[in-house]
Amino acid sequence: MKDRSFITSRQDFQTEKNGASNLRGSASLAPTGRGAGGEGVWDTWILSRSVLRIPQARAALLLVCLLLVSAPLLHAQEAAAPEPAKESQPPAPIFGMDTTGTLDLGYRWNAGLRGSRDLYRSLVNLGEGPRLLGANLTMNSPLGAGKYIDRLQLNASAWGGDPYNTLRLFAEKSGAYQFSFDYRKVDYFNFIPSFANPLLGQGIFLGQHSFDSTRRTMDFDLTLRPSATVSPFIAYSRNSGFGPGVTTFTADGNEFAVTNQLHDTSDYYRGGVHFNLSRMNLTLEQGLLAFKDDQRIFQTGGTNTGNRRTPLLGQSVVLGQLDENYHSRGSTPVSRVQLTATPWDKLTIAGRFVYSKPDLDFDYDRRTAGNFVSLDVLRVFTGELATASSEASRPHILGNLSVEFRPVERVRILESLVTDRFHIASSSSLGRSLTGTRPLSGPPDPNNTFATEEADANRFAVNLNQNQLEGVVDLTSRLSARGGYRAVWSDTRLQSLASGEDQAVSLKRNVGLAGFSFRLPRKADVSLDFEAGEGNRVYSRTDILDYRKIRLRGRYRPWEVLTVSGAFSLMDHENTRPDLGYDFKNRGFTLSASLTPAGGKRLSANFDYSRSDLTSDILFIIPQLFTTDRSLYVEDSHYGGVSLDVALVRDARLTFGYRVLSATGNRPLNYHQPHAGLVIPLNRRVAWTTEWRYYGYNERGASLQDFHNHLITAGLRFSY
Amino acid sequence: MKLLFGKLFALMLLLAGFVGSGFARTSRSPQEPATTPAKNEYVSSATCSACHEDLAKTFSHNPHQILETSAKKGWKDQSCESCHGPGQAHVDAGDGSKIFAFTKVSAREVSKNCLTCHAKTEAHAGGPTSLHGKNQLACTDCHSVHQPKESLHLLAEKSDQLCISCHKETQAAFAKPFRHRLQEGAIHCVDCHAPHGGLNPRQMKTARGNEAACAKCHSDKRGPFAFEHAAMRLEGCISCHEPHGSVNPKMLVRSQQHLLCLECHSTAPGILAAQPPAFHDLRSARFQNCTTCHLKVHGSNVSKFLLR
Repeated sequence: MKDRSFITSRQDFQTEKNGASNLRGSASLAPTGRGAGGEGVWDTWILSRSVLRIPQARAALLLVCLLLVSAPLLHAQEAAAPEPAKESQPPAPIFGMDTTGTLDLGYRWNAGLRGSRDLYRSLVNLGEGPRLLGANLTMNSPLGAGKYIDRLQLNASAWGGDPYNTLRLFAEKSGAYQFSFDYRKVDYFNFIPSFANPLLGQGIFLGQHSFDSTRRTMDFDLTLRPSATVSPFIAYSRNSGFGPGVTTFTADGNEFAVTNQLHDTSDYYRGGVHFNLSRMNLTLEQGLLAFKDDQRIFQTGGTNTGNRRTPLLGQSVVLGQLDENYHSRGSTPVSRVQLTATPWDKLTIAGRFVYSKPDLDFDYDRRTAGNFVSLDVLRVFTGELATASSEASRPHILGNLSVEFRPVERVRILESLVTDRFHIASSSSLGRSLTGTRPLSGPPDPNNTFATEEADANRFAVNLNQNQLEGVVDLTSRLSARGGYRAVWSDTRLQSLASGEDQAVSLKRNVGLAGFSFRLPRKADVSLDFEAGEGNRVYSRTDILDYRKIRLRGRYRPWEVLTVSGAFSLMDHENTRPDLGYDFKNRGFTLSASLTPAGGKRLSANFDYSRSDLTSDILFIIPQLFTTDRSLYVEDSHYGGVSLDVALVRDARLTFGYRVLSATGNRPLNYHQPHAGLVIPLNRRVAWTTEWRYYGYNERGASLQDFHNHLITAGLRFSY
Repeated sequence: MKLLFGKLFALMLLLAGFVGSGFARTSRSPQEPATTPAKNEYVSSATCSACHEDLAKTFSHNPHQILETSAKKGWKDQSCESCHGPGQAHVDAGDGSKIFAFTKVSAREVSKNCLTCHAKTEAHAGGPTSLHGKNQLACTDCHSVHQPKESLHLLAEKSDQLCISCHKETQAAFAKPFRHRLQEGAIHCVDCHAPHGGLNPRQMKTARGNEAACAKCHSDKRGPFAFEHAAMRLEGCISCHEPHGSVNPKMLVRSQQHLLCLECHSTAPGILAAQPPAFHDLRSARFQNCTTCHLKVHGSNVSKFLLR
């Protein structure tokens, strides 16, 4: 009889959660009684910005006020009867350049957030306050007559407190240079109380791997003389992440949720030359990446009893203080050669060779105080000092070759080769000094200390190769058919000096390819891709072995104003080894329609429906019993979306949309996202904008993390 | 090492051969068709603009206008005909015929026309062998030279909208609750995928030369680590994560963490992955979330069990 004493289904999980549901009203930062001041580790959590709540009745009143304010503006609009936009004069040039732009400023109200604020912040995280909603600026010098710039384009979105800010700048002087700058900032807030939380059954809402961090990326790119025969370029990219979070510290027999502070940066410098010849482009590039990663995990005081509820070998394992520091430093030279050539009218070749060798230096130290048990050396101890250092190196070669050969007009032979080879060689050492030690049995330790040392050296080598050969025949000017073959072969070897491990595994797969595509210009197109693969070796239990994959896509335009499209996909994979019994199926179906009379100037409407049905069934071994059971994952999701964009009187525009996702299976939920917007021109340069958005998230049968929120934004759009 | 140098040397010789052939065929007018028409079949752009006034006016802001002004390109004052072919017959006919009209020819002919100049750019490497190439996607399916909605790269629509117009199933994935922030503009399809083809499977881009595209933003996961999680290196991030969107937290492919791990970490001869020891009692909530202990699941520099 199958052992059902452990939780594998959502039903069992819900049963355990119901015991905690009476504590749902507690805020996520509820004190737990731990710590010197009665605060727990999650009370040190600092929300980067607050979410102001307005009761629902006030939200409705606010929306009515916004509409009422719009009404007299509409009346004034009718009374004043401004000139239609199409007859207006173009704006005056700025610095001799034709200039257009828009600036959207507004204020967002967070009206009526109900339910889990933490999950709302984890999934949406849009707050309240004044915002620069968007800005666009385009400047062009007609016929390339600008002295220093022919084209300038600036785009910005979501500044002023939103979690996703973007800024992009592009500048160009024809034949002289091209410059681009891209900046993005993403606030990553993730605090899901029920995820990875062993304490949920006790009514403690804490995601033990949570983040309130920020990630920034910046990319600068300058190419000189872009279309000249020799075109040098330089580029710089920076990626950085920082911020607090919650993570766990693991001691023997217990885990403790503690504060986490993250900070990592990568700086990538590169430069090179493009050689643009009549039949060839050759790029030579050299780059250098410098990276560092610092992490601090700590607890400054108090008594943290952790996730364990029972003593370990008669001892209560508790954490009093922790200071754990990770420091990674490294650099990576990257060399790249890329070639695209048409040496002959019937032949197109593209190839790339990249070599990199990241090197890592790592230091680590840890100080702990509390009451612990070491199962390795069978001792109880009250403090620990640990230090570690590691080195790792990963020489990595990536080579690609793509060839298109056209022996006759209607036939193409396509060949592509990939080889990806790297190995990671590393060494590490860890020293621990335990203080306040006493053995579980036997005479006490001299000086109450005990020291251990560990060292290891590892090697991990991977060689992956893929060769694909296809023939494409144009049966008619509209219909082409193709068939081919792909071979994948790979081997890997893992070695560890300390444990003596030496594992070599290989992978091999043969795949047949077929397909066709049919296109009737501006009327219809259909394409079909089919793959059938057979393998005899895999790396891991979930690797693809024997599979069939089909994708059918079609689009039909019966009239100029209406486009209908649909797609079907199926991935059917199995590995019938008796100890795996792996069966995987993923089916997808989409249907959409788009109505755009008169090119969509007055009205456009879109409808989308998608369904995805995934089943994965594989055997696994229950660790504590060493017997097998099935891991069955089912996900059946339906997505529906409609959108409508209507031109009203006097160039006003109304938009309305509704997106809804409904999923059943292992994680049933639905997620509603309707929105509506109104743009009302006040004069030639200024328009009033209003938008309403709603987010309704429901985990069906489990309301712990549901949330519902209305967002209302109102503002002005300035156009030039 | 000797074999590697030998292969590198052979590659360099091959490159030298191509460079030589490239120089040998240098031409000042790369767009000229195989059969050069008589000069009197070409008219000037001024003739075209007599009828197509609106297009000519907006074309002055188009990057292609360099063809009109630069003698080096070989199409000075004939930029319209650099794409649409000689116009004398079209002018004489006066009925819209006898000219290369992009809306009336096959996708193959459209792409052939554009790629006469653009094929050899870095961005188009691998185009013919990509899925877009094989499915006859025409340049004008995404780009609009005369009426672009996005002036950067002359796109017919916003870039993400273009992708989603065909890839509806991906649009549905981005509507799932745990997702990359495509709709908010924090990420774009082209951050990870090469729209023109690229040299990698699934038209994936690489980050910093030869790393997975994920490492462009998630640089703290790129490694190398002293103790690697082999699945990440062998199968990539998608062995555990859905790249577009998921109904599961952290965009995992399974709703329960321990099952995600145990599907691989169950002993099977000849296959990688260690079996967890027996004290991992799944009846306890502490062992239903593997990352509670195995914190450094993407790779560790301290512990071979990825504990810290």
